[in-house]
Amino acid sequence: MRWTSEGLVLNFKSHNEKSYILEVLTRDYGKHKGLIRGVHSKNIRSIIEPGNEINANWSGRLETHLGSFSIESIKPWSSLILNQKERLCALTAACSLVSITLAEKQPNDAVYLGFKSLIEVLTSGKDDWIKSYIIWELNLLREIGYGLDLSKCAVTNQKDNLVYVSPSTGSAVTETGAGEYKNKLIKLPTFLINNNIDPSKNDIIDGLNLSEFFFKKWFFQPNNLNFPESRNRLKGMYII
Amino acid sequence: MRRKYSNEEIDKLILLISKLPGYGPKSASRAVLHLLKRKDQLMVPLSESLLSASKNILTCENCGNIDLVSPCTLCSESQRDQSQLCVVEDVADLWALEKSEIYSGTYHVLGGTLSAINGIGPDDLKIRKLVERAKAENVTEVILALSPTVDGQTTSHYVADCLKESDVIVSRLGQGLPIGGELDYMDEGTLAAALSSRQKV
Repeated sequence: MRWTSEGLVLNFKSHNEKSYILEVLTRDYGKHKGLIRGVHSKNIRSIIEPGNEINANWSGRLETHLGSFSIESIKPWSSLILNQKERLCALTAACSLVSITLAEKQPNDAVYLGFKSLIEVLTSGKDDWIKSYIIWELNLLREIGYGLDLSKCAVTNQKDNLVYVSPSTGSAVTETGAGEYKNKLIKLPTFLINNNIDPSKNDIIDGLNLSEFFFKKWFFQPNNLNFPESRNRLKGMYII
Repeated sequence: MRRKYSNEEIDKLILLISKLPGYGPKSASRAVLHLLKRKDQLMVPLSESLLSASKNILTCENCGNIDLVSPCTLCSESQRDQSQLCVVEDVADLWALEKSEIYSGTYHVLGGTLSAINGIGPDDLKIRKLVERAKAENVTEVILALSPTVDGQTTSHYVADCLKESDVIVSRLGQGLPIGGELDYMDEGTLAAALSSRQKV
């Protein structure tokens, strides 16, 4: 069996002295692993950095086999932000989240294109990349089946003044709807409702806390998985 | 039933040698036969040397280098520039820098890089010891000589953050075109790094 697809490198792990196991999010075949030989080649080593866009050729005798990749570079995105601490951390956090949360061999165009456009934003030099990152995390949460409902208040049905999210349902709540329970609710930063607003530092922390809470509650804890260290570091950069 | 053509001693030796980098069962059998043919010239001196190395070689408690003494020769050499501390991933990188004879400061071997996929976190690296050294010794500059990869640079940023409290200059190695490299063979990342760190001629 043989196929070719464009893809984004998620990670690689040493298999033996001469090969790595490469994990790629491909557009046509979803998240896919394969063996890649010739790791001592400087050329291959620089192509398989997380976040890089590649043209992946996979071949294996059966679909269920690990198979092997031969690759060509399309765009080495990660090398453009190696010296930018926060953006590099966001890129590794995004790669870790995609690698952990997505099922193997399930193509999803929305996830692929969303991930690609996030990488483009991270490497573009735009200042509001963190806003795009938080929105991307919430979109990823929705794509894996745990979307939040931020369209109206779960208590009053109002569409304005949404300031909290219910930790049990993931639905937005207004100040009046929150009532005496507001200490138990999660803060909803305004930029997630109105895209034209620039987030403050506190808004960014609230946004990161919001997605982290639901990722942990609905995916990481039930599957007994650790939340990615790179994602913890990204939040830590804003808390300090 | 398969015929047995060797004995336990040889099988054990082949198994152990096949675990060395670059060796598999076939090449390990060749190496064992070669050793057995040259017992006095090669096998006995090799085994003595291996035994002696396993007994005497230590990891330097100060910098993480390997030597016969701890602190190692590099740490205790008085003519070395104690104000500069070069941080490397592993001993092979330290050897590469030493071989080049272009650096005369001290070293610190981290023991790897942060890697989510391989489960290497900050506690698995000698970062705490590095911070202690940067504070305690007469260090004025810490040079981060880590690979220009995502993991290498993530580690660089993390180490630089840890050193914020210390009163030292933190620098990193230059990035860009390799000597002898041709421009049209370079990838965009290398070209971008080379262009951003351009120098006045």
